[in-house]
Parts: sequence; structure tokens; C-alpha cells
Amino acid sequence: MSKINQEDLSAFMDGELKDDTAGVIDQLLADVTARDTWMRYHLITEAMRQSLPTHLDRQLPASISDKLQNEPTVLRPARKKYSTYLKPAAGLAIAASVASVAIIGVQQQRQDVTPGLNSNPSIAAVQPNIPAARQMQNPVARPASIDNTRSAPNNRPVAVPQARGDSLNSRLNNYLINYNEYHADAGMQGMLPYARIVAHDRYE
Amino acid sequence: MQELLHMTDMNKCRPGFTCQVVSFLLCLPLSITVSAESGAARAQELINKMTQAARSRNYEGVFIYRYGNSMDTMRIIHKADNGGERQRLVSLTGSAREVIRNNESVTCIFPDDRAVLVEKSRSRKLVFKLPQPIESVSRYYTFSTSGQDRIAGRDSWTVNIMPRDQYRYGYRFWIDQDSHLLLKSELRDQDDSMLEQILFTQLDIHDDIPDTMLEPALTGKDYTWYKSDVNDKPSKPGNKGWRVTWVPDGFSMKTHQSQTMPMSREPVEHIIYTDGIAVVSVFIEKMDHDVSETIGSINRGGISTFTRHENGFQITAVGEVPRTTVEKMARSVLADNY
Repeated sequence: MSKINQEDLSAFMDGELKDDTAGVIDQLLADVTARDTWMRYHLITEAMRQSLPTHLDRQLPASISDKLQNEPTVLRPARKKYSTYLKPAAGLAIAASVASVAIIGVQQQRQDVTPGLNSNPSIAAVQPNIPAARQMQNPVARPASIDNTRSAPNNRPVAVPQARGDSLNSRLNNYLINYNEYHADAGMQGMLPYARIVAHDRYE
Repeated sequence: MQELLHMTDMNKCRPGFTCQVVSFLLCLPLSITVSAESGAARAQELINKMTQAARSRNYEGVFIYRYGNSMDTMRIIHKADNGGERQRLVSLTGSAREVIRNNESVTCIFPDDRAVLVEKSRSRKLVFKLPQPIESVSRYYTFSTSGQDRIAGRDSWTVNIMPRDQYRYGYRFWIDQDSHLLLKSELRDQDDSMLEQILFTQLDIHDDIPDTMLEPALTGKDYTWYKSDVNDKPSKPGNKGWRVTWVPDGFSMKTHQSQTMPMSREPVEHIIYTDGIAVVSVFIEKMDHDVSETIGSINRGGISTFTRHENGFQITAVGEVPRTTVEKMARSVLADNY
């Protein structure tokens, strides 16, 4: 499916789309990403008008549509490929989007060397609804393409230095912290620097 | 919604709107030049006060952080007393990531990664001053004030910093008239397109902040911890064999150190350059043969990074500057000793 045109979507919100030749409505009905964009635009508008409610539940529309989907009278086939909560997780924490794809490939291999990683009940309580996200974000995982080129990856224990190597661009996080810390006295600091570390990388 | 379109998708403006913006910008200089001199001084004074307020006040607020098509809501809690500064930043959307900063350390908790990253913090001066004399930075940036606005229910002054070349970014700050705290902030490129935004929706200033509010909500038990060793040697003067041979006009070296980092086996060379506003760090470290990292450019919000490898060393430039700047700087690094 072609990506929704943001210009069309915006025009549609403004009521400026004379006839829906671009199929904005169809795309909104069919495409989770388009609906997210739609919601985000409304959210931004609300934020600009400073009329955001005190509590925001971004999962609410998704949970409603999930419920609707499980109603006995299903009027349309289930077209969702991904559950909505997986989407943010897909881009999460990994600056290089490539890595997130590659990591899936090494899950199997890494499972046996990191026993008990997903068996902590307290963690499960913290984030009950994103088990799949945790799988994908396994901090010791590394891109499959790199692992495959190694001579005997399965025989190597996950030694700390190795695991540290490139997990989630953690070295980059390290650099960012050091950059932030030295930044404070070197130059002007106006953008609340640690917001960038807390933020979720849903962007490319 | 037209404004919104401009903000959300800078590259795709409908023609009518672009015309409006252009004509607006054309009119702008006339009104500014009248009081340019005093406006610039006032802008710099407000920036200095803003930085000091951010470090010395007790406050708690909720803000929206936007970058590209991504948006997060975060809570910030900041306490300053005789014990120094303490700050806690929590994501209210997505996974509950936290960054806790105090006199000793910066702790980043990533529940989605089940990882905790701890780095040493550096003490920072309470009083911040832009470089003096004012001309030293005014060669590379235009400073101005542009009236008043209301953010998070508070009256604010607006300050603009525009870069004069393509190697730097510009800023727009909305500063609380009462406390001088930052209420809204935008990072802009040379074409004045917005790259990144922070917008407070709520900000409360307190006499005191209870310590419990600065405790992390997650213990990080059973997470993977990446921690700076307490026995780590303090930073040493850097290896003079490494040289950055290109920097934009106006940038000069601030420090050059050799420091230990939790992810790195060997000390990392850290060279810091600044023009008084923007800062670029260049990190150079020896890599294990089997460690493969992303080479090239990665953006983290308004931060650009560029990484390259040479003779077993990894060279990374990091800065709140356009990608061209970090790339050119990283490519210009020369080693005399290796």
C-alpha cells in the first residue's frame, strides 16, 4: 500500500480536499500508520491550542478498534498486519533502523546463551503489554549479518565486553551522555539534552 | 492547520502558505534592525538568565518533545540546593524510560531494552555566560528578541538566535518572564525550518522538592547494567597525536581529554570544540577487531553524529549542528602517532 500523502491528509483535515481522488479516507480506514499520523496531527493541533487533556491515552483508539474487531459481527476482514503497540517498539531505541530488522534473525541463537532473560516477573509487571517489544530489544542482540560472518558464534559465551560492543548503539548513548555533560559548560544549552535519550526513535 | 503543516512537514508546504511565509520574512528585517543592537544584548542577557534558572530553581513540569514525525511527552523534576543539582526526566509515553542526574552520575534506565547505563556526571557552573565580548558570537549568529507569548499559562519573552552560515543551527526560546525558566524551545536550520521542539504544557516552581520525587520508578533489578567503574581513573589530558584539521569558522578547542567509558575497553579521546553556542565532541577510540558499529551518519533528535573507521580506530563526531559539520570534522581527523 502506498504511503499516505501528508499533504493530502492535512488538506483533508482542513476540509480543503475537494474530492478524495487520493483515497485519503480509504487509506485512513486501511492503514494503521496513516491513522497514527492522523491522530498525531490532531494531537499537535490540540497541543498548539494548549487544550490537551491532563491524561492522554494514545492506546485508546487502538484498544477500541481491537475490541470492535473481536465483536461477533465482523463487517470487514482483519487487515491489521501489526498490532499498534508494536509499531513504536519497532523503531524504539535503535537509531539505525536496520538493526531492528536484523535482530529478529538472531533471536533464536541468542535465546540459549541468555537464559532467564525474559523470566523476570517484576519486569513483566512493569510492561505487561509489550513482550514482543522486549524480545526485539534484547540488549545483547546484534545484527545477524555481522554474526553470520563470525567463525564460531555459537561457541562464544556472551562475554560482557562483547555484549557491550554494539547493543542498541549503546556506545552512541555513551557518547551522547559525555557530549551533554561537557556541553553544559562549553556552550549554550537550550534543548533539555537528556530528552533526546528518553525520546523513542520512531523516526527513520 | 496550515501552520501545523509547516511545522510537521517542512519540506512539503502548499504554495499559498509558502508565499505567506516568504512575504512575512521579507517584512521582518525592517522592524528588527531598528533596535537590533539593544535587542541582541537583551537576547543574550535572557539566555544567560535562562541557563542559570534551569540550574538553580526547583521545578516540576510536563513537556512535549517533538522531532520529525515523532512525539513524546515527558516529566522533568529538578532540585537545586546545597547538595547540588538533581534532576529526573521520565517518559510519559511509550516505555517509561528515565534519566536521573545528580552530582555523581547520570543514570539512564531503558525498560524496553532491560538495560541501565550509568555514566559519571560533571559538575557544572551555576552561572553561565555567553562568550564576551558579544561580537565574538555575533559574527556567527544574529540575536534578537521578538515580543511576548503565553506558554503553559505563563507570560514569556521570545528570543531568536539565527545562524549566519550553514554549519550551525538556530534557536528560538520562549522564556518565562517571572522565573526565566525555558517554556518552549525550537531548534531551527539555516532556512528557519523547525527541526526539534520542546513545549511545556505545565510548569510548577516549588520552594522545595521532596527527595522521593527524584527516585526512579524502576529499580533496574535484573536489567543489564553498563556502569562506569568507581575505580576508573580520572580523565587525563588527551593524546596530542590526534588532530581535528577542519572546524567551521569561529569554533575553537575547549578541552581535549582521555577518559574511560563503560562501553569501551580503552580510554577514549574526547576533543570538544565550541563557537560559544554550539558544541561538537569528537570521540576517538581503539576498536576490538570483532566489533562492528554503524558507520556514517545517525541523527538523535537535533543531534547529528558521523562515524568512520581508520586503522582500527573509530572516529565519531557528535553535535547539535547540521550533519555536514560533524561529517567534515570527523573526516578531517588526522593521527600523527599511528
